[in-house]
Order: sequence, then C-alpha cells, then structure tokens
Amino acid sequence: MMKKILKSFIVVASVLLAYPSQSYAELRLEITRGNIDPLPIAITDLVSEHETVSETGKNIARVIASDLESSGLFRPIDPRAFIQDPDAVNGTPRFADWRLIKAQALMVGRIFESGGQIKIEFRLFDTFSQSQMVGLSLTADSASWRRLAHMAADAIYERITGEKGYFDTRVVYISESGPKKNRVKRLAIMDRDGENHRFLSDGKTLVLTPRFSPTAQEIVYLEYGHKRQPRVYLINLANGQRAMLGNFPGMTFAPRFSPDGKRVIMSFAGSGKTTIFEMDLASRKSKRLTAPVAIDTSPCYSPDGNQIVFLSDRGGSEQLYVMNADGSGAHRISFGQGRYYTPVWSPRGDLIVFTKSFKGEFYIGVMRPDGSGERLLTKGFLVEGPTWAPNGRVVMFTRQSRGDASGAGSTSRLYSIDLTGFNEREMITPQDASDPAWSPLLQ
Amino acid sequence: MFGPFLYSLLLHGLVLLVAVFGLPYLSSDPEPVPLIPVEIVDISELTQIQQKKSKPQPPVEEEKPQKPVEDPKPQDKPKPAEPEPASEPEQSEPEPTPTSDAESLVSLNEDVITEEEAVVVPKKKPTPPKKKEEVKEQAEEVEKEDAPKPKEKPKPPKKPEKKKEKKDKKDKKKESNPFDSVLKSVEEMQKTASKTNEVDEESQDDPLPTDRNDASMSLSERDAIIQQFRKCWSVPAGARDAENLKAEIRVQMNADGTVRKADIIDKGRMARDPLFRTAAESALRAVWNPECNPIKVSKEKYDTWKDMRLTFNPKDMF
Repeated sequence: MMKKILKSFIVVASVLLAYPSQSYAELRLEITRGNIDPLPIAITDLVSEHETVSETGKNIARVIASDLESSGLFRPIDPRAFIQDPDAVNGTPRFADWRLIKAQALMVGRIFESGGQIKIEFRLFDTFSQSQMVGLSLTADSASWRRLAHMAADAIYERITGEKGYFDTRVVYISESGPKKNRVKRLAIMDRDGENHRFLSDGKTLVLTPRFSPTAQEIVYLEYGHKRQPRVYLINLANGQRAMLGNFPGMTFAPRFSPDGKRVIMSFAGSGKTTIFEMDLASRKSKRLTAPVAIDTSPCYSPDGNQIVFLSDRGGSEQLYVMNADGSGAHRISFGQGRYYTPVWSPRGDLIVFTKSFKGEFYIGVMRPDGSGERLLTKGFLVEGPTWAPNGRVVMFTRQSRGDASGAGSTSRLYSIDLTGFNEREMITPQDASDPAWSPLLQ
Repeated sequence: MFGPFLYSLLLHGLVLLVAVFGLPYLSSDPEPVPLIPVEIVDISELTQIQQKKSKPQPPVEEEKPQKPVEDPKPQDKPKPAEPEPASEPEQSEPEPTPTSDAESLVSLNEDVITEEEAVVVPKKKPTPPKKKEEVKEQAEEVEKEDAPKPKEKPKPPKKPEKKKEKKDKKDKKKESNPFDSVLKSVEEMQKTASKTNEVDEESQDDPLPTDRNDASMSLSERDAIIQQFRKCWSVPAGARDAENLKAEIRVQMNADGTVRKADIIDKGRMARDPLFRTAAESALRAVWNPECNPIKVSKEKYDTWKDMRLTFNPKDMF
C-alpha cells in the first residue's frame, strides 16, 4: 500500500517536474497618470473617379476634420504634411509614412455619385497596430452632403471614444438683434457647426425657451402672443405647423418633452404660486405634480423618464430638487453656496448641469444626481441656460458680456464646453444668440 | 522524610522567584553601545543613481573608488566602516532633505575637513593624487556621521539632487498648473481634493508589490519605465466613470527595448464594453507609440523586463 502511494507520488512529481510551469518573471507596473492630449488623426480627401464630386470629396474631409477638432479630443494633422497621397493610400496605406507624421489614426475613403445621390465609403485605421477600426458606407442626396460628413465624423468619434457622437445634430435657439431696449427675438435653427441656418419665427412676437422633442422633428417653445399672454406652443419642423399646448388661465412656461416624447412638463403660475404640470400630448390631459407651496419651475426629466429635477425656493432660496415622475419623493440635492437655476439632466444620466449665481458671478456647473461632485465648468458676468449634447459630453450655454454702464456693447453668444471643463468654444451664429437647445442625433 | 521535600520546595521557590523578579544585576551598568544606523540598500539602486547623474562627474568617480580606497586603510577601518553604509543611504535618499540645513552643516564640516584631511591623507599609501578630492568627500561624510541628525550629503551630489528636486517640482507644476484634477473646476472647491491627489501621486507612484523575481529591478528603474509610458498615454478623461476605467495589458519586449507584442488581458470585455475598449486601446496606443518605443531601460537586465504586465489606472488624475 505504502509502496503504491510512494510510486504514484514519484510518478506525479516527475510528471510535474518534466513540464516546468511558466514561472513568469513578469514585471508588474502600474501607470496612474497620463495626459489628455487630443488624438492626432489624419483625414484624407475622399477620392473619386468622377470630377463632379471630387470637390465634394474634399469638402466632406474638411467638415469631418472640423467636427473632430471641435470636440477637443482629436487633432487633425495638416494635410500638407501627408506623405502618401489620397489615391495611393486608398490602395494600400503605408502605415510607416503615417506614423512618421505622428498620426495615430487614419481615415481614407471614396465618394461616388449617381442619379442625384452621393455615396461615401470610408475606412478608419489604427496606424500603430495597422488594423482597420471602422469600415462604413453612407448614402444621401447630393444636397445633404454635410450630413454624410457629420455621420462619418460621428462614426469615427464613437469608435475611438466608445461614446456616441454628436456632430449630426441641430441647435435651436433665440436669435437676438436690435438695441437692448427694443430687442427683436426670433426662433432660429441651424446645424451644430452653424451651417444651414434659418429662422422659424418673424420676430413680431416674443419667443423664449425652445426645446427639442426626442424625435427631433418638433419643438416646444414659449411665445408671448396675442394679448401678451405667454403660451406654450409646438412647432413641427417638417411642415412648419404650429399648435398651442394647453389653454390655462394663467402663465405656462419652461416646457420640456419627456424622453419618450409623449408628455410635456411645464411650470404653471397661478394664485401666487408656481407648480409643475405634466401634459399628455395625445389626450391633452394635464396633471399637477407639485403642491402649490412655493415657486417650482424648470423641470427636466431624467433620461429614463423615472425622475424629474426641478428648481424650487420652498427651502427659502432657489435650489435644485429631484422627485419621482409622479411627483412623489421630492428631495433637495443642491447644498453649495449660492442659488441654483435651470437644471438639465444629462442624456447619459450621470450628471445634472445647472446655472448658479453666487456673489454677483454666474456659473455653469455639473453635479451628480445625488448632489455630490459639484464642479463649476465656467463663469462669467452672465452665463446661463445650459443644454446637453445628445451624448452627454458637451454643454452649450449662453454667455452675455457686460458691456458698458448703460448696457451698450454687451453681446450675447452661444458657447460650448466639454464636461471636463475644457475646450470652451464660441458657436457660430449670424447675430446675438441665447437659449440654445440641442437636438438628438438626426435619424 | 521531609528533608528532600523541603529541599525540592526550596528549589522550586527559588525558580519561581527568579521567574518573577529576575536575576540580580551584579555588575555595573554596561557601557552604552554606539548606535550605528544601518540601511540595507540594493546594490542595483546605487548603480542606477550613478547612471542618472550624468552631469556631475566628481560624485560618480567618488563613489566607485570609495570602496577600494577604504580597503588599504586598516587604521581608519572603524570610521570608514561607519560612513560606508551611511553614505549609501545618503546617496539613495529621496528628495525631501532640508537643503538650507545641509548648507549650514556642510560649511561647518568644511572647517573640520582640513583637520581630517591632514589625518587621513598621509595614512593612505597607494592613493593617486586625484583621489584627494574623493577622500575629502569621504572625510566630509565621516564628519557628518559624527554630526547629529539630520545626515547630510556632500556638496556635489547635492547639486544633482537639487536639480532632481527642481525637475520634479517642474514636472509637478507642469502637471498641476493647467489642471489639478483632469476634471476642471473654475472655483477653489476642488483644490484641496486635488492636492491630496498630488500627494497621493507621490506615494502611489510606487509600483505594485514586487514578487521575488522583480527584486533586481530597482525602484528608480521601474519608475523610469512608468514615466516613459505615462508620457504617451492619453486618458479618456470625460468618459462615463472614467476614474474607474483601468486596463491591463501584457507586453513582450525585444532586447533593444522595442515592443514585440502587446495584448489586452481581458479580451472578452473588449468585445462587450465600448468604454473599456476605449481605455484598453488608449493603453495599447501608449505602448506602441513610436515616441515611447524603444523604452530607455538597462539592457543588461533584459530578463527582468522582457515580460511586463502594465496596468493603466487613471485614479491619480481625478
């Protein structure tokens, strides 16, 4: 018995010793800091066999580069530095040439035209591993070539950052002109990069707080129309039709869509108090969500539609509160110094952006839905009215400059800033602008 | 009958007394033993610091012949024996030394040096003339050993230490000026949190606990490799939950310091989780980037760094 055990032990031991396990002398290191440099990327012109679209191919490349650069996460390399020309690179990219100019990613592609339609095929390569990351084909009518560029930029952005892009979007805002005492305010809409700009109202009536529907084809906004009564209106972008939402004996304002697009919440001021109302768009039935105890306004749904963040002064000063979608469980989330306004829940769900005023200065800040992690992204004489990009990465807001003592020379422009607090940029608008609202990704 | 019993009782009682009260102390107080602080230092750490100090030549020369110089001096054996282990930790001590104190003490020592020199120099037989300087340095160290705390370094090595300090300060400034944390806040509220981050960075920069096989890679060598990859790693800072996104890659290196192969360890998660894929790809790009490839590392120790497991964890940036 013992002999058997010993024998088996010897056998097992010799077997184990015969195959030495891989005792890795593996050096383990932890890198805990890096940089936040933008990714150098080379965008080559889309090549074509048809002369008619070769210019469009170059323009599309330019728009893609401009989109990616505006995000602050990419640094398109100057095309004059390219070693391989677009035709050759569409055959076989010589990755060493691209690494030489420090490109870490490379986009190549072709453009085709047929029957009034444009098609682009593009590929995105990682120059280090020399592998393809994206290969995509997109088609649209010739007039919409910009949308092709934005969609391609979104695809590149998504592949590299892991998050959905935001370039194929529109911005609706209030375009302002004229002197301070006699401001003309018109509803306007444009592409995110300022192109394809058009007005939606004529400026004869005062319009405020436009908001996009989740389906991107409708906008709600506030208009001081006939008899100076403010009312919430709905405008269909496709056919331009307008409809009034609700006819309350009082003031309704600050409207927002629910994430499923079926409801609108707004504030209703009556009998000295302001409460939050929800209206079903199909039935036009409305329901009061907060008790008339204070001024409750600026409501905004969470992306899952289960919660609402709003502003209330029930505690004595303007602070942010979160409640369930049925109006129950309201609790305060803002506890910093100052007053809080205009909360907007990020489409990503992880942050709420707000306007804050403290000691005469205005700030745009973010905090988590439980109120922790408050960070102020920017400040100014007057910054307000933030709106999120559909991917929850970028915030757009209004910045008004001081001007002189009488208010002359004061300008109001739209700015965007990354949620990390970097890359603040001015948006391109033909005139002064305020109250932006960012559309979802266009379908 | 009671005799042996009593005898046994007595002995037991004696043992009990000794156990409780201890043996009587008959001799006089023993002489106080001079305390010799000794720090065990890896030899490789010493050599690495020699390589780092490219600019000042005197200290490099001084350290190498220090040992052979000390050998042919039997009379000075007790004294040199003391500074030898003490000087090594002096060389290898990290930055935070009070430089102002050092200067004052060094000047004090310099006055005493001449005396020591006169004592030390004639005793040396085979020393070439150039080694006078080194003896001076050594004598300085001898003095310092006698001097009370804090221990000081000789002047020339101090200069590179100072430079290293300045460099580190600059690095910290570079990293801290535009953004204390990678998530910016325009107001002061975040500053205290990020200062903690900076302090933590110093301690947390130390790599993961080593296993026995890594023993020959000194801390400074490991840190040098970390610094090089750090330069090329672009962190996806604004991603959701970015502070918790860490990626581990296994890297196989060629003997010339270039990367032969780099793989993500958790490939399954790459396919499922786009944010993790972004973090993992940023780690891979850091490793493959020509700016950080080949890495500057001691080629003789190829066996220790030919297989690496790198964890890219952005925790110190938030």
